[in-house]
Amino acid sequence: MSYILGFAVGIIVAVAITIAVVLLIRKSSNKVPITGEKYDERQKLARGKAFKAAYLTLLTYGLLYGLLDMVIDKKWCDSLTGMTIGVVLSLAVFVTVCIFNDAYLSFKEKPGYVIKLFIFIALLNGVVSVMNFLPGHNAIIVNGILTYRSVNLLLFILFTVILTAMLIKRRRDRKDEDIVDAEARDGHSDGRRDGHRGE
Amino acid sequence: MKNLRLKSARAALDMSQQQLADAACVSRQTINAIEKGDYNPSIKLCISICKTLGKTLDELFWEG
Repeated sequence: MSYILGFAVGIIVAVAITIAVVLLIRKSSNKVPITGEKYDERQKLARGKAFKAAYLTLLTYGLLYGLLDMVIDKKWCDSLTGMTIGVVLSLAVFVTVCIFNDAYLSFKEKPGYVIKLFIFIALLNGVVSVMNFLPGHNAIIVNGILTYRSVNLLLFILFTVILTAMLIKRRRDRKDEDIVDAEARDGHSDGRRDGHRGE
Repeated sequence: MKNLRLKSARAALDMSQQQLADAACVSRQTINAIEKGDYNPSIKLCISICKTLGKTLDELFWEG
């Protein structure tokens, strides 16, 4: 009973810390991030495709997880962990597809604020998962079975993947903006150049 | 197919993609995708862009 209570208190404290940090970041930033759910038509289409990809990922994982459970005698993870892995995988697919189609953030949201928040969440989960590896703490793998304590590690991996995708996309966007700016400075019109290509 | 007329009309008004996007209430990447020919906008968005640039639908979006 005291274990369950401790578990619940731990979750509440983690959520409270996250909310406090979010509020602090908002207060400290010069421009208050305008969060909202306003996606333009192209973004909505892209998000629809991302949802489809994520759904298919979850479906495939579910089938593989069930098949593996039938084929292999020994359990490799507990049920909560098994389900969490599926959710994390499909979330990673959804977010990555959205990011590379410029459909993750609405056009009114500030990416800097979101990146800072995700870095904080990744670090928080990273610290907790490292602690779980230390001797004297509850182990992630018990009797060869991946336990629910691996959730923090999974979340750390998820947010790391998301942040990596965001940074790669940002680099690509900057290169594209440099090309557009260079074209504008040169005063070249694509009509004159591309006309020769018959476009 | 690239929309060069849109790009020219935007450049004629000395507008950046971001400025046109803000005026049309879409993301800069959407304007970029339309100009590159990677996305076909809805009629509603076409009208919004035309109004911002002071052009007609035929002038910007008709393949003729």
